[in-house]
Amino acid sequence: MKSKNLMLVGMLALGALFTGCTKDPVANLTEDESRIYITDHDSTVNFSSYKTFSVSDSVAVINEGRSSKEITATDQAFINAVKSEMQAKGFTLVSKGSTPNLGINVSRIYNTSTGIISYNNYYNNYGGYYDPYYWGYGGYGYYSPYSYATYSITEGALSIDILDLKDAASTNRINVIWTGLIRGSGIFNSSAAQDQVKALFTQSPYLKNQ
Amino acid sequence: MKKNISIFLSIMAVCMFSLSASAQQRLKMELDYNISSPLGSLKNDFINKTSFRGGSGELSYTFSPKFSLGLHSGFQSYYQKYDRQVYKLSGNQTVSAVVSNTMEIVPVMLRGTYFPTANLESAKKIQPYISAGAGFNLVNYGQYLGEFGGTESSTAFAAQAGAGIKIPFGNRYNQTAFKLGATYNYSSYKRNELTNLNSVGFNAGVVFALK
Repeated sequence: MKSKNLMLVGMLALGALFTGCTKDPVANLTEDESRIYITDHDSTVNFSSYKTFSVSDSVAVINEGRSSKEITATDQAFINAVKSEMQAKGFTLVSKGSTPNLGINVSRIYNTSTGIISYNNYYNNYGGYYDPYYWGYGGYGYYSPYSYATYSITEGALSIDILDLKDAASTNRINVIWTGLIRGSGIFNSSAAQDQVKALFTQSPYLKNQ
Repeated sequence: MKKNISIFLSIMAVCMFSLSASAQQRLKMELDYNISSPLGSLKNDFINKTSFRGGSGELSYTFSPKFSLGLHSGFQSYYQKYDRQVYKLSGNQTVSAVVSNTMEIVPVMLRGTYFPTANLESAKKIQPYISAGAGFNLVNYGQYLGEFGGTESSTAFAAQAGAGIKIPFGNRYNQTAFKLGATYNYSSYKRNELTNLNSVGFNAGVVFALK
């Protein structure tokens, strides 16, 4: 019998060890490490054939298919970062009215996902959390028809699109020739804007005018 | 992963409660702490860090002083975070991310252990042993790009060969002993760039008689 107890203790210890020592990979990330930078481009385009660019003076906020234009301090920081990174790549900033070769749009995109949490265990033990005696009905049980709750999580992403305005008239459409997307924690932050935009441009060495 | 752990614990629990009083000091329990170092594809393509998060247990029946056969299970958790790097995706897509890889393995196998020098009189002497086992692994594969990603569970064939020593410290009736050993673990597995889950493990633990 003694060894059986010893084994029980051993199993409990092992169980605690297992659950306690599994690392949560997401919890072990800093805000910076949580972010991913995705870029894509039209490989048939020679970016050196474009010289001038202009950046939209506000940010499109796209939420569940609806959009609005905003310009917060953070939005301005992102727009300024795009301007300085483009200039560092050899492009010339011009105003929208002087027919730039490239147009750049910056957008904030919000996605809301919903789901359901099961509350079965919560309601099954309701009498254990709140003694019916407190309400003057000692000995009664609770009845609850509710077993679930819905939740929703909104995730934000920042998108930067480079548009081909030079050839728009001849092709009858505005081609998106480069796109960059930032996802992760704490991306809408003025002080981190420059580093985030830089990451997108650094991983796109073909995007230059030289 | 909690599911895999509870499978392991319930296997152990079922074994424990199905014990009968028929055997005399023949049913034994072993509990070990495990360290595991990835080899081959697991090391080269996924995680090259040694895992210090592991444990195992075995319930065995002693057929003779030289031979026992047991049901072996355990848990090993591997984890590695790679510094930010730029990866090429399909087409012209490029992503810069901190990649975190996780691998959790719960083996369930039948394992035989052979003590070449053991006999009825040698119960208090240090004994070398070799072991071999086969069964399956419950595998939980995880990959995260930044905070985006998830895990996928599956099972895989598993086989093991081991060697070590048993150091008795109890009396000849309870046969309690320390065990120190090493194992080579083979497991076939295919996912993305991974082609196997081989590893070398080191274990330290105790073995004691139940009945």
